[in-house]
Amino acid sequence: MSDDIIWTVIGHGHCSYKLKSATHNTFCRNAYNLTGLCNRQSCPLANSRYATVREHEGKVYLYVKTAERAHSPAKMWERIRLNSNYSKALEQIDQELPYWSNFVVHKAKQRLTKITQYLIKLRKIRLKEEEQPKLVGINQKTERREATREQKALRAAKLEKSIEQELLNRLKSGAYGDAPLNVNEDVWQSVLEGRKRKEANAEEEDGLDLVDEESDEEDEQLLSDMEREWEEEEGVGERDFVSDDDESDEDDEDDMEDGFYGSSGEEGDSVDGAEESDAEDDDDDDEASAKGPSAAGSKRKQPSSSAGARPSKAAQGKKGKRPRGGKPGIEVEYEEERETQPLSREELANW
Amino acid sequence: MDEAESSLGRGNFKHIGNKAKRQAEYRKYRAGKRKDKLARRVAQAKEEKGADGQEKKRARLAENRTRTIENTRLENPTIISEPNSHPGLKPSQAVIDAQQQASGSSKPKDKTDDEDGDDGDDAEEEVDEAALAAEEERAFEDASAPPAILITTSAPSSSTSPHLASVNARSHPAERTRDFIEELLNMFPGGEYRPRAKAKGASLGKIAGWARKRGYNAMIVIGEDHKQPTMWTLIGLPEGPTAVFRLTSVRLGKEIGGHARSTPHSPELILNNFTTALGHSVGSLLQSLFPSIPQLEGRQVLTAHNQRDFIFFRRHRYEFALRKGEEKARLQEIGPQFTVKLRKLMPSLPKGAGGWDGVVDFDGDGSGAVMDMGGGGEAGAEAAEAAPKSKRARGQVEETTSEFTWKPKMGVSRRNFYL
Repeated sequence: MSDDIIWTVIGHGHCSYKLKSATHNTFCRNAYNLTGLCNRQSCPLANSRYATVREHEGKVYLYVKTAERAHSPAKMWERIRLNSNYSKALEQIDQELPYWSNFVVHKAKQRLTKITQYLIKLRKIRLKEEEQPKLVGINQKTERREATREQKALRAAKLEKSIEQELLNRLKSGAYGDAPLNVNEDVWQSVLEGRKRKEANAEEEDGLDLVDEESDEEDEQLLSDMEREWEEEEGVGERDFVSDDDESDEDDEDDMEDGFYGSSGEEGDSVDGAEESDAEDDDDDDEASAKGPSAAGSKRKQPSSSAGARPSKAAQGKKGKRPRGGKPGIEVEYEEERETQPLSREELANW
Repeated sequence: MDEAESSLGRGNFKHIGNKAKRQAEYRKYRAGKRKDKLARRVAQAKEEKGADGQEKKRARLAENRTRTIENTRLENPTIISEPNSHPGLKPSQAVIDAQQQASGSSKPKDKTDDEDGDDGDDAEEEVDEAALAAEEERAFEDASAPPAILITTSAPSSSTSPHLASVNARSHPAERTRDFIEELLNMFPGGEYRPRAKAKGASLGKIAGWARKRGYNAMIVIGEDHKQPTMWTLIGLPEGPTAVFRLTSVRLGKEIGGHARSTPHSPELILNNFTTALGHSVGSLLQSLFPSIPQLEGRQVLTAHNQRDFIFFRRHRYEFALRKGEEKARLQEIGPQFTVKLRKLMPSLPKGAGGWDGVVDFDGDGSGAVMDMGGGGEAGAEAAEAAPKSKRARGQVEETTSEFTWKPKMGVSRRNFYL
């Protein structure tokens, strides 16, 4: 009874939920409206017995209003959670609204269908969204900052230098194997020579260590020279029997041969020869012998002045690097050999 | 130096009211200081030219080390190895101990294969090719074959902006990106380019799953913005990591003056300054793009140099030569040059890849050979027979946690680096 009164007032007069449109039917903005249109049947205010289907956060509910609760607006709508299964939800609606007008039941089911459909669509879109590329805004400040830092990092990196260094390290350390495909013959030869020189250096250093322990410097030199000769010279330890006559001459000849040919295979001795020549400056000696072996050598230089300039030079003549881009020829001095062996009677007499 | 300064005065001439006079006095003071400095430096240079000069110079330099950002980098507990192109942070003692224990002896490498002339990772020794050539994972593969790489672009823009000429314009990559892809195809002889579909396009995860099934070894995705390539995604394929990078400073080979011609020889790799655990992951991902045994006759070297978290990619053709009796390496740049910065690293494939039953289908027909991945031969066969679902089961969530994500605020402190 009161429904009609309500309808005459709001239906024909003013209703806050009413939306008038020139082209369409009047709409009803009430959230509980079944159809969305402003009709006598659809108006939730003008019907004391009413039902709707609404969804909230993905859950679908059936709202039911009865005349018995019309006096308490707070508890007017009974909210029933519908089953997520569509067909079961339909049955649920039938159960909850028995003997209700077809209009309400039918519209409620229609609404349920629509809601289910759009919920499915939402879920699909959300799944797809996760796989779609995420669009991120360009932050000018960040971009500018990163670009500047990149430039500075590039400068700090010294790319070409480090690449060249790395390649040379690989070449020299032998990472390319014994017969590398990516190197020129002459370059490879120079690498191999460099390695041999290093080995010679290492050996020398061992010899010099022994030297440092001994106290008597003059004896030290002779002994160390002899030891070095022992390590490097071929034919050391070989015995043969010689006659008494012309002993000294034969010795001399042997010395010469060794000087010429015996040590040519070993670069250490041949380079010795180069440095032995008096023509070389002391400065050269200093520079070339800046490293290990001559650190000890330079120590010995001072006290050995009494022993004679030559023996001392011979002693430290070993190695170090041959000055780069150095003289092509190798000079070998016979005197060196004589000094390292005890002087024979003849030589003492001629000294 | 102090004496000289004190003789000049303290440099404070505020008490002189006459501007001309004041200026003259100040100028005199400055000139005096300059003279003293020059005298000091000349004396120093003279000393260092004399006896023991080298040592003195070395001592002086060692005492006055220039402060660099690399020098003053913040301590990072995940540093595993020292940088190899500049002095920097060393791994902490705990890490060193752990490494020594793990490897037993003083063997340097515990991770990736170290083929002949391959990595310069952290200045470690190269090991015999024969000894390490056979690895369990790659037992079936020919180690000198270039890995198959799928190259594609990011999803085309779904914008419906009216100023774009046609639908085609929206869905095809721009000219610059196309050129870049062409150069990438030169760089990776095993590479294949497949354009990305616009309508009904598959997501990246699905494409990765497809590529995995087809037996690709890696995937590269180039992202575009404003008609320039700006993002670079690397996906190592069977269950590999996904690394998303920001791509900048792309210079194509043809833009580089005096560039060398690219050949399909597999290059040597130089990976510089990948020091932390994260750096090692990225480095090994980059390694997986190239065959482990390089073709040295090609004399190509590909450098990925990490400096302050920017990875610089360069490709060079090198030649060893003798200059003044000294061996030198000379470089000529080939091919594309670009910079890359890690934005995100995920240990798994991108979302949407789904499961995989281990069957590799090289041709796309039903015939699939079971790939023996890491000792799962029998398991793989069983799995193929049981035909497990490749779609994920209901309620199962794919794990796509990221190991590393870059945020702009990480760049606020200029001393903190992650690679």
